[in-house]
Amino acid sequence: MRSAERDTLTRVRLRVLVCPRCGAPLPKRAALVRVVCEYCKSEVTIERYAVKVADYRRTLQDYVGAVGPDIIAVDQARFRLLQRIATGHSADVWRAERATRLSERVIIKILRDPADEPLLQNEQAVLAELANSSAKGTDFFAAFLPQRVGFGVGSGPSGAARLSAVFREPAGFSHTLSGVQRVYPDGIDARHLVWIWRRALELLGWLHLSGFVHGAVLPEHLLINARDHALRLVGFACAGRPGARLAAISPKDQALYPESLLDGGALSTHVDRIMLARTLLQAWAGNALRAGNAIPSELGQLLEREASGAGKLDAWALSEEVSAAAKQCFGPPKFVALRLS
Amino acid sequence: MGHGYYSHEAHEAMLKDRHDVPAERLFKQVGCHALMNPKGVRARESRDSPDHPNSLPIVFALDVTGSMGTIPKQLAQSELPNFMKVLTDSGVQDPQLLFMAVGDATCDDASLQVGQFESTAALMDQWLTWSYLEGGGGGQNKESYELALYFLNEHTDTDAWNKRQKRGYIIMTGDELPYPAVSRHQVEALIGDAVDEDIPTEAVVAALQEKYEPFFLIPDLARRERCERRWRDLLGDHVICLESPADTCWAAAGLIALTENAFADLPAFAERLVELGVERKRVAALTRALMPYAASLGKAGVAATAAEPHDGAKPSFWKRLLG
Repeated sequence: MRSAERDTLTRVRLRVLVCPRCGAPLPKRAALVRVVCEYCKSEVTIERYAVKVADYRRTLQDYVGAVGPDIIAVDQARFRLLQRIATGHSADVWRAERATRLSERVIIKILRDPADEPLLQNEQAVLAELANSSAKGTDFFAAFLPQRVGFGVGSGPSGAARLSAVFREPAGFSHTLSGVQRVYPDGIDARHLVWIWRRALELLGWLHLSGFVHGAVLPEHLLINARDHALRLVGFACAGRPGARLAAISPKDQALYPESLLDGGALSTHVDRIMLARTLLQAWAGNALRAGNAIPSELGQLLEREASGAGKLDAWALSEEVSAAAKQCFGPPKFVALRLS
Repeated sequence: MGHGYYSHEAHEAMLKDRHDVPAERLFKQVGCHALMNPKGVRARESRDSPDHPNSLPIVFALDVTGSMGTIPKQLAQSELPNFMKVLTDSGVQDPQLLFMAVGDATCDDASLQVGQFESTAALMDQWLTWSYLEGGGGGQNKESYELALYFLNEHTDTDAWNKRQKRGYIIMTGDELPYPAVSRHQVEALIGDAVDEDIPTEAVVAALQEKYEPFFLIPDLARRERCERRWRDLLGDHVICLESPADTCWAAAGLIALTENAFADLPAFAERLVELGVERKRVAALTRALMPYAASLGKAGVAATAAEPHDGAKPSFWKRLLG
C-alpha cells in the first residue's frame, strides 16, 4: 500500500511545516509552540499535531545501526568490542559495550571451538533456572551470578559466525582470585581469605538450596570486589544437578578437583566445598609457604579439613564455623582493606 | 514556566508536619486534575529566565499503579527537599522539575498526567500532590511507560536543548515492562495527536535520548527479575536497581549530579550523603545501585575488569570428560 493511501485511511494529514503567509520552511518546534517566521516575521501557530512514524523508524535505524570492524551482532543487538580480557583455545573473552549511545557494559564470550558449544549452552540453561529459583534469598543472591544479556551465533570481528554469550560486566568486581594471587604472589593475607570464604559459602549455600552444584569453583571463577568485600561466582559451564557427571575439567587446576570427581564420580554439594577450600589454600600459600604468613591454626585446620574432604557441614553451617574460627584468630570482625593496585 | 526561586528552608518547612499525615490527605484527587490532563497539550516548556539563565529540565515520571504508589507519597512527605538540596548544594544550576504520573492506558482512568516545569518548592509540591494516585494497573506485567516517553519526546520544549543542546533528565520509576509499541489509538484518545501507525518503543527511546538522559529506577531487588532485562535492552546502564524505594530521591540526585560532574566520582557522592546524615547502610545500598552507571561514566572510583595475561599458546581451558 502506498504511504499516501495509508495516510488517507488513517485520516492523518501529513504536511511540511511551512509559513502559511510566505511559504518559508519553519523549524520543527512550530508544531509545538507559536513561532515567528524568520522571513516574513509572521507569528505562526499550527492547528493539529501530526506525527509520522517513518521519522521515528529512520531515527531508530541511525541509532542502532553502528557498523565497523569492532562491532559484533549477537541476539539482534550490536556490541562494540573494547578489549580482550582473557583467551584460551576454545573461547575469547572480551570487554564490550552495547553500540548505542545509551550503552551497557558487557562481557562477551566468543567461542572458537564448536565442540565446546554444549558447555556454553549448559551455562545458559543453568543460569536461566537459577534466576527463577524458588530458594530463599534468590532476590539477593541471584544478583551475584552472571547476568545474561544475549546468546546466539554472532558475527565476530573476523566475520566468522561463532556462538557467543553476552553478560553484563559486573561493576566494581575488577579482579578474579587469580588476579589477586598475581598481585600477592607470596600469598594472600589470611584475614582476606575469611571474607572471601564466607561470601563464597553463602553464595554456594543458596546455589545448593536451588538444586545445583557449580562443579568448577576455581580461582578464575571467583570475582572479587575489594572495596565492598563482595564476591561473585562465574563460569557455570560445568554446573549441574547433584548426581550428574562433570562435563569437563580445567587441566591446569587439576589439583583443585576432588579425586573422586576425576575418577568419574558424580557431582555433589560436597565437591564445591572441597574445591573452594583447596582454591583458598592455594591462594593463601602463594608460590611458596612462608613462615611469616602463617595461617592461624584454627583457620588453617578448618581449611585443611575441608580441603581433604573430611568436612560434614553444609555451606551455611560451615560459614558460621569459619566466622567463629576467624573470631578466635583475629578478634571481632573489622574491615581490612585489600589493596589491588 | 519555571519562574521564581527555590528555597530549601521553605520546602522543608512546608513538609515538616507531613510525616504523620496519611497519604489520602496529601493526595486528594479522585480523578485526573484538569490541569494535568495531557489531552490537547501542545508543549510543556522549560524556559530560561533572568532568575534561571541555565534552566535544567528534570522530569519525574512516577508509576502510580498499586504496586508503586509509595514513591510519590515519600516524595511529598519528606524526600523531595533532599533531592533538591543535593543538586543545589553541589552546584547544579537552575533545576526545573516536572511531575508526571504514569499508569496503564489499557485499563486505568488517568494513565497519563502531566504537570508543568517548575522552579519553586510550592509549585513543585502543587503538581506532585495534584497527581491522582489511581492505584490501578493490570495483571499483565506492563504499564504505559512508553506513552509517557512519547509525550516527553513530542510535547516538551526546552531552552536547555534549543539554546545549548543540553539534555534534560527523566527519572522514571516502575516495576513492570513497557508495552512494545506506542498505540496510535491511545495517543489519539489521551493526547490528541494524529499518528499514522503504532510507534515501536525502541524508536521512541532512540528519538527521546537525543534531548534527554532517561533513567529507569526499579524500586527493589525483588522486582528486578520481571522487568530489568527489557529495560536494559532499551536504556542500558541507565537502568538503576535500587534496594529500597526509600532511596529513590537520593539515587535520582546522584544520577544527575554525577552526570553533571558535580562530584568527581561515586565515593565523593557517598561522602556527601554521609555528611547529610544518611545512614551508612543506605549509603552502601545506594553505592551498589549507582555503581554500574558511575562505572559507565568512568566515575565508579574502582578499576574496570582487569585483563588476564595473554600468553598466546595457552592450552584449552576445558578438557572435556564427556561427549
